[in-house]
Amino acid sequence: MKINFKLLMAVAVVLTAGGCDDKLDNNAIERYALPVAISLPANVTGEISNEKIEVRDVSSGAKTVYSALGDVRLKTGLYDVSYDADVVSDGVTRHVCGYVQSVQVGEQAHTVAMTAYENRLSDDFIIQEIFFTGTLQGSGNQYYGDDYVKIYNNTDHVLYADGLTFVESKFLTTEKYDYTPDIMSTHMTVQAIYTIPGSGRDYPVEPGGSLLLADTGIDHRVANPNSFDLSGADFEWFDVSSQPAHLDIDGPTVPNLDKWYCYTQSFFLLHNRGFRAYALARIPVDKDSYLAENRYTYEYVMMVAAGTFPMSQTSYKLPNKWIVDAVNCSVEAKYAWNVTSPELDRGWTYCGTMDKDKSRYFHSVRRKMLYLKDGRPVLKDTDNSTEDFNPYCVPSEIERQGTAIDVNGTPCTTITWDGVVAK
Amino acid sequence: MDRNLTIKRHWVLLLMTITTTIGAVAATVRGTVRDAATGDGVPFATVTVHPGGVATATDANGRFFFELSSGTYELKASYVGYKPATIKVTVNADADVTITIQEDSQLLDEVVITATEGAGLSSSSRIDRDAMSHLQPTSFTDLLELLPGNVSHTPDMGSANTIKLRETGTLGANGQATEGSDYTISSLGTLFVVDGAPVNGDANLQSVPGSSSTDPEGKRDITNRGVDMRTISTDNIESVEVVRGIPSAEYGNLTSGMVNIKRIRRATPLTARFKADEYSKLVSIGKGFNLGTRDHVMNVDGSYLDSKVDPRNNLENYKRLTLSTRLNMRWNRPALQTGWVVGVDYTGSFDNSKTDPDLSYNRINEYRSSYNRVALTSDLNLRLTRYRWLNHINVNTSVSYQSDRLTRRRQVSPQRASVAPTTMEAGEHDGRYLLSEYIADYTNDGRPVNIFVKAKAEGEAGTTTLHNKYKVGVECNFSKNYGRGQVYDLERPLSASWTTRPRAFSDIPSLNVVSAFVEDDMSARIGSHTLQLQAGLRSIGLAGLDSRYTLAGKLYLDPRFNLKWEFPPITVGERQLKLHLAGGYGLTTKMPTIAYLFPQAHYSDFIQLNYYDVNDPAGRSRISLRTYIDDVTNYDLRAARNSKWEVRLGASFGKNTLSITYFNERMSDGYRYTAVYHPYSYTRYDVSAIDPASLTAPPALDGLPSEAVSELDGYRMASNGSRLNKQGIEFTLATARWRPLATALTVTGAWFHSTYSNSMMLYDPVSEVIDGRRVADSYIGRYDYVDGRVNDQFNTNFMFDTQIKRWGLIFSTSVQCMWFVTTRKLWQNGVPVSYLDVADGQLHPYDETAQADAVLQSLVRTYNPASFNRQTVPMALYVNLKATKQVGKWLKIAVFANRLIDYLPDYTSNGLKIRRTSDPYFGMELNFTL
Repeated sequence: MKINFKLLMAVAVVLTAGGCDDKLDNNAIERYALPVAISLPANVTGEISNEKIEVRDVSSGAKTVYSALGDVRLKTGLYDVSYDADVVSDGVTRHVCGYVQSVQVGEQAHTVAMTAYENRLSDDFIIQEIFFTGTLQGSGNQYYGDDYVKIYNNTDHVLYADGLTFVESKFLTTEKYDYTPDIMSTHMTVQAIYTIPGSGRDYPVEPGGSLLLADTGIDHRVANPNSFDLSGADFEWFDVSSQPAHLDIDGPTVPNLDKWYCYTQSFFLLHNRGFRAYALARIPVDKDSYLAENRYTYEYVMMVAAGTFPMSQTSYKLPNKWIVDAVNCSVEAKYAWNVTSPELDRGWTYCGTMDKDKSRYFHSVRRKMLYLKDGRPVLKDTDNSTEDFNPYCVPSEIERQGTAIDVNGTPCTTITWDGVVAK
Repeated sequence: MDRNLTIKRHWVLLLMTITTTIGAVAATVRGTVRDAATGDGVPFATVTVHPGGVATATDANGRFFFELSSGTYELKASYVGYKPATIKVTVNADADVTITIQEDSQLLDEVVITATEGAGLSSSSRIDRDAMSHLQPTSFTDLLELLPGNVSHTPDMGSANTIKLRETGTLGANGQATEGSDYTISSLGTLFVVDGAPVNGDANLQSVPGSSSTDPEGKRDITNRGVDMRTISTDNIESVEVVRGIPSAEYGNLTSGMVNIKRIRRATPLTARFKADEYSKLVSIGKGFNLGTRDHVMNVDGSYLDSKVDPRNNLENYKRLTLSTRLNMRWNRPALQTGWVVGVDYTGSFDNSKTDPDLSYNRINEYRSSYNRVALTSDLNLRLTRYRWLNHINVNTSVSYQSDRLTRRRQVSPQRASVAPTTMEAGEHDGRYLLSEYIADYTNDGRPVNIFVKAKAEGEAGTTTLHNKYKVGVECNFSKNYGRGQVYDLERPLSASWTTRPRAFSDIPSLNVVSAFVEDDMSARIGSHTLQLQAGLRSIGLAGLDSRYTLAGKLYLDPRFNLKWEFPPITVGERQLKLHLAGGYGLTTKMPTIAYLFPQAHYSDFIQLNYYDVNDPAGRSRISLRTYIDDVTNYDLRAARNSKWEVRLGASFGKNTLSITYFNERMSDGYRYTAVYHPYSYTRYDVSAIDPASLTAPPALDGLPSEAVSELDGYRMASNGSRLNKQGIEFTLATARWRPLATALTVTGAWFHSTYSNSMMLYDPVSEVIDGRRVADSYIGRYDYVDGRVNDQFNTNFMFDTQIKRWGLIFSTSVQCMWFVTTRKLWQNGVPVSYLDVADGQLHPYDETAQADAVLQSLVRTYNPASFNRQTVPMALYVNLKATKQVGKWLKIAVFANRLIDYLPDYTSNGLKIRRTSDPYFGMELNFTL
């Protein structure tokens, strides 16, 4: 296939001293153009309008919005750049957006290529909520097993959940390494793969409907009064094991997800500090051929306080084109990068701001509601989790059940659509 | 040419002497140089004859002899730190004389504040009281910095301190020291002897199942690791000899080397020591009394140490209390000199660790461990002056009783729910869900008892030209643990995922190590050459062992040889250059410990039914387990054997001495635990057939749809699977004191090249789950070379010591350079050689067909080629300062500051720049001598 990149705008000119007038003010801070070359997807042509370039200074967090790339003048530093524009062709408006992190701006800056993607009008399930933090027992100890994920039909028609796959990323958003070979632009590297069973029409979900995928589908209040009831969940990821050390409970009222792959022989739980990305996918091939053909061996040098370790690992890879939705999670103090292609997600969401933040328990990330249409919420889906999600929310199940929101067992009294907008 | 001829002639002469034993002198004068205070023989003292000027050195027992023609002579005995003494002897027949020399404490003449290279046949380091008091140690561990290859370390009182001789120790990928359970033979195979009796740790079982090396109990676990040097106080030690080379056949049940500790046994003034440093406070008091006569001396001493692992943390600490009384009695009769030392010792060692409830998720997490050892020792020495062929009989006995108690208290919060297998029998049974938090209490009660008896006879034969000293002896060492073992509630396990079961230690059989030895020390003078040969043989075996063991009735023989050839002195200017060449070869054998020989049975529990009832979790849930009990005893376990040889060149020029040793040690059957896997079958019940609504009680198993399932599972077995090869060069150079600065220089150092690896193929299960089934349930790969590293290090310590007698000042500067540390991982092939298949329990070759299989492909382990590259940590240089100052008559003040200055250049590791820092360690002490 011929790749016809249309160069939308390329600024390779790096201003040396021309950004400001030396004679007027010797002390003025020099400013430079943004060294980013943006290209459109191959199949998108037409007239560009409504350009929006948002530049975030990595060191200060300050955001500035420009309406043309040529207008951008920045101090020396590191910036995250996101791009939005409409492309009109034959009266059809298509929305494109792009994202690139850690762009070096300065005298010696190199031009960075940014590929803008057409905003995918999702016609499948999206992740509505991820509750990865878990709850606390009365003693202050962590409780695992009540983590869950809610997936949502944001379309205007019935969706069938049969064969929909839930995955967890292998890589951490808090540790950036040069994984070689680098396949992130085409694949997501995953370490847990669970698929909703069914023949194709077994699990219909109405528009505005959701499915609850739980770790363990039991009433967790038996073991931890501060937890809640998940015996009504739609599915659970049950990890069958004959080893008492790896005991998982099979909630008898909740059907199990089909476990394709997991990195651990112990029970699987969502990353409790929220350092990974989660995604939904429609895998078009059967399980056996997927498992036989998609192992991915990569190398990197792990750099930690204890030293440097040249590593080699093997995991599974999942093509980006099969992924219908992805959400990166992290914490501000440790965030290093997104572990999915910007095509899938251009932001990240969080519970807590630092590593091992004790305040994170009893909180989830919930997708923002845009508006109510015929009584059903329409959720925001721009493939940018920073924009699309409300971080650090009271989980919907805790709101619905009115259970504890902290270690002292304080009952939840609020109820919201999306963690922010009250019902 | 000429020289060669001479040497040849000497050999001929030697042979002739051996065959004919011609004597051409009037009489043999033999004798002993004794310490005036203790009455002990002084080894390596110099005895000179006037007129004639012949000189010799005493042997390890202080014995010497000359062959002289008739006449009157003066014999002068001298030794460093002693006042020389002279006696007159009129020779007309064979005579036995005693020269008594007195320690010169007033003079504070040159004292030796470093380790001195031993003058014996095997390479050894000797550390004396003066060196110890200048070093200001907290425990025995601190003395090791004086051995070649070692540098100073800040005391680590939060973990067991184990010894390593002549090796780098196991290192991590970045050259940092690691503690691995696979190479514990390093410390287990080093014998500690205190006043002739070994410190035996073979019956120690103070551990917590499943603990990791980061847990407080894991860091302090001494099981299979020999002696914890933290428990040894240095305050009552007179001298320490660390035998790095081939030990005499008299000592056994060791692989690496030995530490021979002699404690103070002489009249001493009341001494008191108070030490304080960043981590600890130490106080010790001791006195040696004369009981009526000078022949009987009683020594009483005690010490108390209170230390913290981190000075900011009050919750983790270590305390030690030692008390000792030793009675040294001597009776001299013309035909028999009797020396009898009896002693009672107590050592208490107490570890505490708690987590801070404000910093940790676990509110209650406590660890306490106490070790109380009482030992009764008796050392009886009979010196017979009448017979040459039998002149010394020694009976050494010791009985020790330890009361060890490890308690653990932890709040356990099961994650979701856990199961506690409670049955002690094999078969089907129901387990219990652990549904809520609980407090777990665990006690490990160990009471090791050791009884040691050794009897030895010595004698001599021959003439000055060819002289034999021989010894024969037998030794028995009984160890048994009488403790109650692991005591805890099976339904309240310390970890919610425990599958272990308790056992009483008193049910474990005893370990009886029986040895015998014979050794001859031959010395021959050929012209002005002296040749010394020590040839010994030691047997070691286990008595009373069940006949199923390979070791039952098996006797290991350790031949050991040490040879030393002293060349005639060459006079250069006014001083003499003396050279000697020494070498040795020997086998050393260490028997397995009780933990290796008599392991706890392994329980494999399989969940057959895991039914959790949502309506009534406590009343109607059911968890059915099938339990298998495996005897995990390795009846084929052999003893660990080390084969070592060394060559040493020694030189002295005036008061300058030099010693260079090359050594090579090989062991391929060191102990480790290796995993073994087998298929197990059980019934898996289908939970989906249960209708929760219709239940009124836990579901019955009958009638539930089920399938027979087979799964691989395994356990760890003691094996001889560790390889440990050590080679290197050790050197010590000590210069004479340079008068203008009153300073002497000692340079010690070593290059160590150590290889650690497994010596047999290992199983290594993968943890992945593919298509809903754990890969390791079906297949486990068997790999050639799974682990192993080759490490190198080279260091040199420069110790300048300045002694100004007039000011009562000793000042030392030790510049310690670790020139490099490198480590390289042995190449690993990640493709298994074969795999164990659950279907038939057999090994199958791992071929291309297997590699193409969706599940079997996961057995291939991948390694980053860069991980096999050599990692080098460049030079690290530290400067340590120490000073001792006499103030008035009674007080001596000592201070030390380790790593006051450092030079730690940055380096690059896999592309990352590494900056290093170090923390100084300092303290001071007061010593009163009243």
